[in-house]
Amino acid sequence: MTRQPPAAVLREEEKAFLVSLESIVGKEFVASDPATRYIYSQDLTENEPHWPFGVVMPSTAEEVQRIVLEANRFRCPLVPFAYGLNMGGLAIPGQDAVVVDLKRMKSILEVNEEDLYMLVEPGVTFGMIRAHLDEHHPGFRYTYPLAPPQTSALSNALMDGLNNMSMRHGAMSEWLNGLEAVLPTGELVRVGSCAIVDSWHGRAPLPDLAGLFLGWQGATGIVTKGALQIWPAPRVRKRFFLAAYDARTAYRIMLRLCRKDIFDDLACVSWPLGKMLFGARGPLAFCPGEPSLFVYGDLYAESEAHREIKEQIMREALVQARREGGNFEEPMDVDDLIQINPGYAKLAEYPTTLDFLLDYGPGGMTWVGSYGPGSTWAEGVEACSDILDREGFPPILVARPMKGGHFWVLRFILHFERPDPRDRERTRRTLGLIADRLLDLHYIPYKPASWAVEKIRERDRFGVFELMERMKACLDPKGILNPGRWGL
Amino acid sequence: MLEYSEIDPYIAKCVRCGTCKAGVGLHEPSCPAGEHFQFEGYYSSGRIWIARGLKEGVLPWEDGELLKKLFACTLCGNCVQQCPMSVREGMIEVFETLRSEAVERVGTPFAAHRRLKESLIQYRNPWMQPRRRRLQWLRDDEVRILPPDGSVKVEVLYFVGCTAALDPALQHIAQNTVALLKKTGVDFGVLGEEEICCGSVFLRIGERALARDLAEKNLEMFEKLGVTTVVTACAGCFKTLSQDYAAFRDLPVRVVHASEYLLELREAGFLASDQETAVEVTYHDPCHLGRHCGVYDPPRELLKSLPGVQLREMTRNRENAWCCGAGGGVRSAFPDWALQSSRARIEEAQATGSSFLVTTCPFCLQNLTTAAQAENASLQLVDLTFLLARLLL
Repeated sequence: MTRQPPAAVLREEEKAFLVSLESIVGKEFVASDPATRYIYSQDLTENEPHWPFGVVMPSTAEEVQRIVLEANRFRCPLVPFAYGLNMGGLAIPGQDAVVVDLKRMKSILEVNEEDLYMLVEPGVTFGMIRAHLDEHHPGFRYTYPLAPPQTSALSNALMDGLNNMSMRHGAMSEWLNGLEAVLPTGELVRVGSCAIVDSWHGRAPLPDLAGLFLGWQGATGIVTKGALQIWPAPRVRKRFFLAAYDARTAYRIMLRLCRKDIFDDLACVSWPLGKMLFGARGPLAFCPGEPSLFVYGDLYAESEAHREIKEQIMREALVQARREGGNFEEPMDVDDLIQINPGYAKLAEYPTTLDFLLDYGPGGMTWVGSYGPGSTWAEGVEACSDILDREGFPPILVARPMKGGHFWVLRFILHFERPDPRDRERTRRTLGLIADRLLDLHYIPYKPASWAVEKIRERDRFGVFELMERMKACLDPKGILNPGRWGL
Repeated sequence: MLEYSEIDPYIAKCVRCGTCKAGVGLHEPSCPAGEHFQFEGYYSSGRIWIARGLKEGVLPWEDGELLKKLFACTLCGNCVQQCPMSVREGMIEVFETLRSEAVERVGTPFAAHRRLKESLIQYRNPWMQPRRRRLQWLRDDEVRILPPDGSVKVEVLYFVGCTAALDPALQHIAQNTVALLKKTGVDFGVLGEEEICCGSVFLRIGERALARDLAEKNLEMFEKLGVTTVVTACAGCFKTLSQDYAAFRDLPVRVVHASEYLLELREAGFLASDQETAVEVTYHDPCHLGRHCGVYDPPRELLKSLPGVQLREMTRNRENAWCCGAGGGVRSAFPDWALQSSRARIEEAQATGSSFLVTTCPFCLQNLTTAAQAENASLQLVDLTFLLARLLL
């Protein structure tokens, strides 16, 4: 990859800023050596690296506040960074900046079974949550994205990620009850019930100021605590797989199923992922006559009798979908599939390691994920698969209805050769083509990289970006936090 | 053993998903370096990315902080167990290769490691101990000392290792191993003053030329002696003799760890005992024996076979075992951090409520003992051979 070489010598004001940070967190938690700066300058995607001139690791909200105040004094940008797995260049500095690595803040501060929330710091990962709940609160569960276990749960919620209960609950931000954040000017604020009373039970009925931080990619504050909802863990879980032979059939199946309100998770993946789960490693080819999409769903129940009723409803919905035409196979229990190939367990366990996907490519991976209406979903699958095919990428798709089908996901994943500039360029071009087509079909990219932000902005018909600019200027007059994100 | 030119396929694959940072399922920290230093560059994934920067030519080999990141790793292999990607297959070799390349390019970067080299050159061991002291552990003269010309033939060579031979606090390992072997009637001998370092520490700190020389000399010696089996009670020696030497050339002997060998003999009825002692023990898997060589069960089987002994596992055990913090040249170059890692292990062992912490590596025992003293721990730290000798002899 074309790298920006590090400045051999830091500027005097940069050095002075780093010294001031050392006085806050201790010398051992400030770094500005080339190797550290190199690692924090990039992620696994096609986004160009940019070397920060330092990295600081606070351990408390108070330290974060002091860092932000010093950044204001030195007029030095800061880029928040949670636990290390970053996508879309979202933690790559847009300009010379110091990265604030929050992984020392990794405490699960409270789990409140009665009021159904847990209070966590930004460095808490999905893996930590799963282990903690399993050991100490086995009657409760949280939700997990299609991401490796060492992903920050709070970051994913702040970035509106999808999850394995999106079918019922929607995007990850729906799981947030309240936040504590350090504003770009250094004040510590809370939003949600926790701002008024000693309880993190919800965001209503105050004006929902969580929106000041949700989806902003760290440009409006550094979140230091967040309350995430937990839910009772049902006693019975059954996962089904079903093979469909075209996108429109897959859509009709999911539409029928999500209208019945029997699944917590309902999603589909395309044929290349199915092959990867079976261990395919070489170039992937679609064989005529094979299914193109695999729909899967998690059905939870309180008893076997409850499950049987839900299964019966599922079968009736599938009869209805079959009457509407289209070719699909009868559903299979995932346990049967796992017997055929244990690899399938990886898609049924949460959090998943995703090795089948991450290890498939030559080291570079990126995606464009988007939220949009169900009415154009099937067209989106077909159109974007065609684009991928034309550009020489297999059509790797993860998709699902969200919140009972109120909106849907289309997420296309691309593997590429990171060190090869031509392949990066091909990847960028393809991502752009997909994003354009998705926007045409009313799908808006989530967790958008800078290039995707530009495309979203081009479609801004009612001045939402101007409003964002005004809010950013109001909250961050000196442009301290993550400048450049959302083009601000 | 990879050459620097061969590491590209491994380092290209890592996407820094971070799965190497914690034990799969447990989600307890797995990486002693990452847990201590916290910056991404101290985790295995970060180190892999540093390798990319070096290959791209944008990172300077001579940078002290970069070298610290390359060498501040115990090479415990926990990341290998956790990593879901194919990069794991060469992870430790990549790290050792980077160290070797660093030594070639900028020389031995740490004073402590330079002292190890000096000791080797002067004494053929890393402990600055004259070779004549290699038999100080010997309690009686009933062990056959094998002349290096191979004029005395035995089936089995007991390879004592530098640590058990030269650290007075650990010489009981050699004494007990010999006592146990003698009880079984095995035809064995030791090399005494002629035994030289296996080269483990030098492979780990990037001194490949020295290690290769030691390997050649040791293999030549094994051939001259005509032994069929080499037994060692040191996990580091075992990994080096059985795995690293095999990468140099075909092994002329079978190499077994004492725990494997003594289990074989006990199962064959040569170490029988009906003496029962009620005692609760926990077992620390040395990285070189467990993760690197896959020997998890023989020590446990031996412990469980002892009447009255109850094994209580620590939370992080077997593949997920927390490293004692000493390996990879860390104890010499980063003693404070090594101690901190071992203190965490002692706390974990104490939480089992056991009265003994048993291990099968003198180097682990050395570091853990230091930590136990610092922690004022109530449990007793012993090598497996100590417990076996006490209960079976």
